[in-house]
Amino acid sequence: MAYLRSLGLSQQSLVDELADDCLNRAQRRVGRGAGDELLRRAVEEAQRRFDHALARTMRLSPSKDTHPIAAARAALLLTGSPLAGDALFGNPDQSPESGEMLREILPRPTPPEDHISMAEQPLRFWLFKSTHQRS
Amino acid sequence: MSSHASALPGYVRTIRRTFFFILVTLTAFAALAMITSAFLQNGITPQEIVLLVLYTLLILWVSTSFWTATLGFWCLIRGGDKRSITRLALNVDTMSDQEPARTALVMPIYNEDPVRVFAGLRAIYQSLRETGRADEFELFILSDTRDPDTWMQEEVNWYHMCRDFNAHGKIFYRNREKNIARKSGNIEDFCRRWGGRYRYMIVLDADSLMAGETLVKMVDLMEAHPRVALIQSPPLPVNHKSLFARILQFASSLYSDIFIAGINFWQLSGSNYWGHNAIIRMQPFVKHCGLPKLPGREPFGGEILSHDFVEATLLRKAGWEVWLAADLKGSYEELPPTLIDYAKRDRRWCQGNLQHLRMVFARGLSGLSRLYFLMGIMSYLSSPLWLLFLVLTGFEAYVQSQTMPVYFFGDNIFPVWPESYTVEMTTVLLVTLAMLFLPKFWSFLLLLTRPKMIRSYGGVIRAALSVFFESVFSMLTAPVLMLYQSKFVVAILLRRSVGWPPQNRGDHRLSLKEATLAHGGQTLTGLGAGWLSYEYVPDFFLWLIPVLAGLVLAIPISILSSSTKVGLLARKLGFFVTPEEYRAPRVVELLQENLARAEQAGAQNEGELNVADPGACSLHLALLPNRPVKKRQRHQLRALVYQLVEEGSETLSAADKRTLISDPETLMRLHTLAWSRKDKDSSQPS
Repeated sequence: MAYLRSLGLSQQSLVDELADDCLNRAQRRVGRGAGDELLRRAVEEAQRRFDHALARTMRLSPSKDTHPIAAARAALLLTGSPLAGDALFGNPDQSPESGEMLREILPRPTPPEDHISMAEQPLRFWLFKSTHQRS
Repeated sequence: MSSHASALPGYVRTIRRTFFFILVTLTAFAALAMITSAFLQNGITPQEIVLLVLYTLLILWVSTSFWTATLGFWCLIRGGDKRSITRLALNVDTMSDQEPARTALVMPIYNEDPVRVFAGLRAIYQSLRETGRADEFELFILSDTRDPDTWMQEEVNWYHMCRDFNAHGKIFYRNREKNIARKSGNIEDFCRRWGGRYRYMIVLDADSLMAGETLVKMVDLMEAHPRVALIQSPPLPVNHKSLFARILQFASSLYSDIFIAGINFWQLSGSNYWGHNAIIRMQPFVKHCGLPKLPGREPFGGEILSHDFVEATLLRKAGWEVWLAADLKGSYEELPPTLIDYAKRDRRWCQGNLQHLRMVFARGLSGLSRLYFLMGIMSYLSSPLWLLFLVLTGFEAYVQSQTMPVYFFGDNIFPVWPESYTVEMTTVLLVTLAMLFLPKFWSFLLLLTRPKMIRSYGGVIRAALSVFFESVFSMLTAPVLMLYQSKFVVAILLRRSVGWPPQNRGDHRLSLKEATLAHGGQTLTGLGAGWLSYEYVPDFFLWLIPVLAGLVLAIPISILSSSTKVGLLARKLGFFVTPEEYRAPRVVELLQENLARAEQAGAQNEGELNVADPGACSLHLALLPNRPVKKRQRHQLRALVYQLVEEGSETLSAADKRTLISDPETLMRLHTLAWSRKDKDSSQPS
């Protein structure tokens, strides 16, 4: 539950429902008794569901677009918009505007590259060994 | 080289430089003549020859500095230099026929405190937005950070900055996988990958602060002077609390104007680059400034450490102009907070400057470029030379004290009194001291001619007292720095590392243990030298007292000057006040506001940022390059994860942790593990 809340979900009924679903699914996979393993699978399941919801909103493929989904998750969580997490699960037919809004705040770490060559300058010395141009 | 004509006539450079070098040489020659005549009177000994050689080097160094300051004073007292880049006629044609310039503001960082880095960057960006021309700039944080926690904090701070200013796609961040060739390699990597997007780049340091107006003005100057490849702005230290840094800040604020103006007087378009707070024209920089690795081992081989001087040299060699914008304000930096931190920074710079000895012998460089390299070397080599000079002078005094005068020799009936050369030697000493202290006096005199400025230095009386106390403080710390720098020079030449107590960043009062570890040897040296001179050459002991006092008192001075309480008390009493403290410039105000806000936010979010934080972890994952991992590497990663789980994170090195969070799959595994191992009752993972 704490993990689901850390993903920005605040609606108690939604959190309870998702937590139950994730735990049930994890139990089916690991059986009873393995506490840590059960919790790990449940967390993985929560991640999977959250990413699928995000992918739906962004019209991305959850299996192929792992980096863009991570970027969207970061944008959603770091922007801290209230109820944004709930909205992902609350409305299965997402409006295209939510995806667009999220796209605008996606992390853009670098601009497109515009390469330029920077050749090493040969330096020749008296008394010392000189450098050689490599490129 | 640019085909445009220079705005500065060539004869001005020639006349000014000739005038300057004549003054320096004549002064040094006069001082040497006096000391040589004194030595020659009783026949010259081998140790006197060595003393003469040392004195020649030192007096040339002192004289260069003195005449730079004096000419700067002369320029400023007459209302400024009309030949400075900011006053030269603008080349209007070049300003209208081009597309608007796009400028990259680049800040290379390496394991710096992210809070301070981003508070500064925000202040710069806020100030830039206030000019209304922020759209012409893009900001690049070029991280070479290796520490994994700092890396993730940088990313989150970067994203928050983009979010807060709605500047997605205007502020960029990249962390290099391998920090090849340190800072110069970092900039070079940026130039190669994104250099084609920009006409100019402004290079910042992690502690740089520049006003938006200054950034815009620098771009305008570059646009107006197409033959200029680089304009260096003179950064002033700001934002200090400890007594040590406040004294240095005051000295820099009051004295640097005349030095900067003096440098501009004789260097003009053949000036130098100080590594940051400078604007660079991208095209000539990428064409001429790719730095090679020097053959051979350190200290003279390997990567070029102090790359700035070399880059400026290569630009000048290719026919481009390099200027120091002496009267450009709004450029700031920070200083080390304690004497020990200052010495540590010296250790780093010393190695880079000594490496330039090789550059002195580079073929095809101008005499001026060689001189700059020699001046950089002398800023550290002068310390062991002064030390040697003092030791030899002491030895010479001892030899003289043991020599019995002979009153009757040859056919003389009357006694021949030994000739005294006290007058010559005293004159030499006074001239040398005058050249060291007069620049301070010029600066104070200049201040008195600017009534509006006097108040911002605390008033006439307080400013005068501050100059006096600063002079005493610099006299006391000079011998300590002389010993440190001598040790560094010898250690570097012998390829030995110099041991240090752990480094502290930011304001902190030194403990007795820390100060004793750092200055204990110097105190013992002072006591030893004092005893020897008092015992064997009592007359020399009196002359040595200022040097000995600095060494013997090194520990208390270092502790006291590291105190922020004492520094702030001095400020309250109106001592060492600078105009930037009296009325903080807008960009400094913004920095302080940002730091206060970050401190408040930091106190609330303590300990939240790590791989367990879903936002930070997702952002980190999104920024990681998607590279295939080989089977062997996958096994190594798994082994590290097991070590982390079974033996704890403290058993992993920073490099191991970096490896773990550099792989997307492992990162998510760690994230999941952190949450699955958490205490069910706590809201945060363990």
